[in-house]
Amino acid sequence: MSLPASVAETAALLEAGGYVADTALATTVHLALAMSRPLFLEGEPGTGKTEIAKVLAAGLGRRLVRLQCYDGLDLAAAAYEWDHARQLMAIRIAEASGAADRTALSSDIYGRAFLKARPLLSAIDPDLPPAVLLIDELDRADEPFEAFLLELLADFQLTVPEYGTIHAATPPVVVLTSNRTREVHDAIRRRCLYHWVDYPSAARERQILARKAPNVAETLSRQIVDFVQRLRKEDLFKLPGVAETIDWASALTHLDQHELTPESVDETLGVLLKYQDDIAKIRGAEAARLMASA
Amino acid sequence: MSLPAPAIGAGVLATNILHFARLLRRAGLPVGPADMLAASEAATRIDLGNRQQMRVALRATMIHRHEHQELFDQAFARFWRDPELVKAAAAIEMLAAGKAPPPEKAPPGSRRLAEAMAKPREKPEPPDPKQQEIDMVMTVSANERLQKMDFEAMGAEEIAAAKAEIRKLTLPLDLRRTRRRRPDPTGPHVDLRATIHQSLRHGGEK
Repeated sequence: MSLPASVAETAALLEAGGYVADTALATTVHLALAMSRPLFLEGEPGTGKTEIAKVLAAGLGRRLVRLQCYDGLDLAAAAYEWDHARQLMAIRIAEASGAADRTALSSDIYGRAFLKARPLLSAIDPDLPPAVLLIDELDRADEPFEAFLLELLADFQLTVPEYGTIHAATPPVVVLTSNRTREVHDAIRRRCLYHWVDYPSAARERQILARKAPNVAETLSRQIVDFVQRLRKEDLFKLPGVAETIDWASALTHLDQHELTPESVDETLGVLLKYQDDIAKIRGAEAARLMASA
Repeated sequence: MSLPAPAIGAGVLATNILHFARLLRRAGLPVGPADMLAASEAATRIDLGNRQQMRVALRATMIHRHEHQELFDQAFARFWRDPELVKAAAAIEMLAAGKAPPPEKAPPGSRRLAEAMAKPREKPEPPDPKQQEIDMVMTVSANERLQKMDFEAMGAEEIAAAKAEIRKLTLPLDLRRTRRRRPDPTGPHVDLRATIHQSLRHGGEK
């Protein structure tokens, strides 16, 4: 499927995938696709950064290659690894069958068949269909790992010393996300288009809720969004994201609640707030106050 | 105040983007030539008549940090103006010149921007050799003043000075030494357990 030709088409593509994007996000996504530059998304957890990559993959009809970053992630787990066991086996079989052509054998065992592709290599593999590469929570990987990404992000190629350089046939759409637990290095940032994903406005959050939890009643949905929007102005350790709003709406619907009451809020606060201190702070009087100021 | 206003006419978009990038750089944002090229390319991919799209396109290509966004938005609002509106505003200003200007409190962050817009040259003047002897009695050191200043209210020079001071700070971490080790690929110790575990993946051969 070809890339969208205008910002409006990009917005329509995201919309069709069930993603309610504001103009700024749609413009940035469009530019990332049009200029084939990686897209670097930062923002609070639960604001839909990862979801963009999923929707793009589905909308463009590409396969989604996901690399979840973690502390200690290395090249072997992220890019490629030689299948050592199979290489040894190939050598032993060659020995047993009496094939003595050593040059052919040594070039053979560093062939493509023995190269195990991990997400980064798989995303630019010219033999596979075009991909959307999602490098999720880059801030959780350690800093040296970022250096591995530079070649890939700038030229969409990967150099395997024993094998050669592998170029992507079609440049993959690359989406990087970060929750800012650590500052990602400027070298990465410079190669990307940057967008800060903020919490949505009340109107947009209601639209998102209507798309993601369609069986929530209109009144309840408005009350939920108003409550969550006010909750985000409070001084909490971890503010609820859009993902929490959606979860909360479905939780309340499953409990057959048709409108917010102080009791139902108290009972289900754990869906919205994930830290005991936050829950203790909001439960009871504070929740009632937030509801009353509607 | 001499504002660098955008030039008007065909084929000047690239020049205007260049001027805008220089303005941002003077305001202390790290905008390099590569960012400028990316911004020029981005401008060709959007609907130029749409101000919001233009703002987002320039922001996505020139700004790489959330902290810089505020300053960028202010700079954008002041640099990319409707030329007709600017003329009208200048006319109104001439009419109002006789009256005293209304006292206004500058929004935070705008001081750096105002400095950047007012000062078209990039190099500071050479220091005046006559001003060498300064009476230091009853003065506060510049650092002490910086310590209590709001970052937003700082000028470009003060920001640079504050950055230099911050770089000298060391975080009071690792005060208590511990025997517990952390995984570190370049560390001094061999993690035998992890090493054996990893070599098991290769049949114990590597």
